[in-house]
Amino acid sequence: MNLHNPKLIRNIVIGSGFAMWAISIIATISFWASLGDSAGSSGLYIATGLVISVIALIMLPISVYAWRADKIVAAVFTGVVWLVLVGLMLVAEFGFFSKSQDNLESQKNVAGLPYQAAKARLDSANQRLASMSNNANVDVVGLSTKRDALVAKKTTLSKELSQCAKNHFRACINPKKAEIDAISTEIAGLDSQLGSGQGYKGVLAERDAALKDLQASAKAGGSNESNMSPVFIYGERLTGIPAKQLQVNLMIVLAFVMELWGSFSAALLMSDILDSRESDVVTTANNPVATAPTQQVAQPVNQQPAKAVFSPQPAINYGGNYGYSMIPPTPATPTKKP
Amino acid sequence: MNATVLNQINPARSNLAKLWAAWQVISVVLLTGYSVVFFVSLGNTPQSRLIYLSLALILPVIACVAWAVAFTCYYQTRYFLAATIFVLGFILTLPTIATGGLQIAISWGLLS
Repeated sequence: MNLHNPKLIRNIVIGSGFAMWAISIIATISFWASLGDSAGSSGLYIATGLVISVIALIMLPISVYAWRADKIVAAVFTGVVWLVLVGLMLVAEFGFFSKSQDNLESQKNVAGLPYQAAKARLDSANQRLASMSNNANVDVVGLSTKRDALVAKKTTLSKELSQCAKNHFRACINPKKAEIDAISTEIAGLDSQLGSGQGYKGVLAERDAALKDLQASAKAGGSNESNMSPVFIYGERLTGIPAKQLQVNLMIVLAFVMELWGSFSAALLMSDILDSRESDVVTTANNPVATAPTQQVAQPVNQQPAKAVFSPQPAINYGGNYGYSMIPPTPATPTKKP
Repeated sequence: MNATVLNQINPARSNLAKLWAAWQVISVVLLTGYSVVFFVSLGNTPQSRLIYLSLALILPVIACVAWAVAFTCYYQTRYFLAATIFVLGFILTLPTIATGGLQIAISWGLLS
């Protein structure tokens, strides 16, 4: 790059500025579109974003134009409007960056091991629950109460059996034993039902736990540093600044550069156009050949060269309408002839 | 900066200066390249990747322009303007250097 070639630098600034402006428009439109909940509202948001982008771009050049035309109030007003619109654009750009980072981290989180493990547990629990659906209606509490009562009854019968005389088979031992056997069979049946019911409840609890883990994993996705770019994580180790903060800082710098560089280059372009027009006017005014055919104002003898001053309203047309006026030439004091 | 120093860093004057200029080009290309790798990795859709890619490519250009303008202002003895644009150039250069440098360190296994 030739440092002594300001025109090249100016062209690069203007070119890169407009490229930045185009990028910022794409980014902000993407953000505005995401705010709408239907095609119509998204379209409205996009139109609003486009209008704001265009007005924000032209406000600073207008402010420069007004300032150089000595219209200070208009310059300040357009400058303030530019600041407000740039603020809005900055919010939209930062919104775009935040949203894209959140989406990226969510994608990484979904592909991550904790999320996949929780999802596998949930899927497995759901499959087992589907195969145990006939146990869903088992009244575990009622069956348990019934079983407890039967166990108590069996204990009582066993006690009574032990108190039977050793030769009272028909009157005491055999009936008690038969009753105990019947109760034991009933308890075994209840145990089987209870096992199925409790197994179903266990799988249900497992599914709930997996679901909670999955929700926690999805919720932590945005704030989990392991899903961030390693550059931010190593940046945190080197600087001590939290990775999330580093990410936010980078997004803020990018948003400022995108927005301010576009406006700055537009203002530079406007300033450059005004400069070239002023120099054109001066050249034209000092070139009698070029001005002669269209000269409409009679120049007094001994007229001093007119001073070119920028003004948006053309007062006198000097051949081409450049949007400039010349200060009406002040009559010079006639020089005395010797 | 006096004339002797300027002569030393003029690429046309010495081999050391040529080496220095070559190193500058290599470092700028490396930093920009790895910065592009980092920025593109930030996007989650083709559109956002394109936006980040454009940013990564334009940022170094803007930074170079800012440094060029700052040096020009310095040699024109406009010291306040030069200092202001130096700060701006530094801020503009920082994202490329920091992200490109860290990405190089990670990719080359310098950080574990």
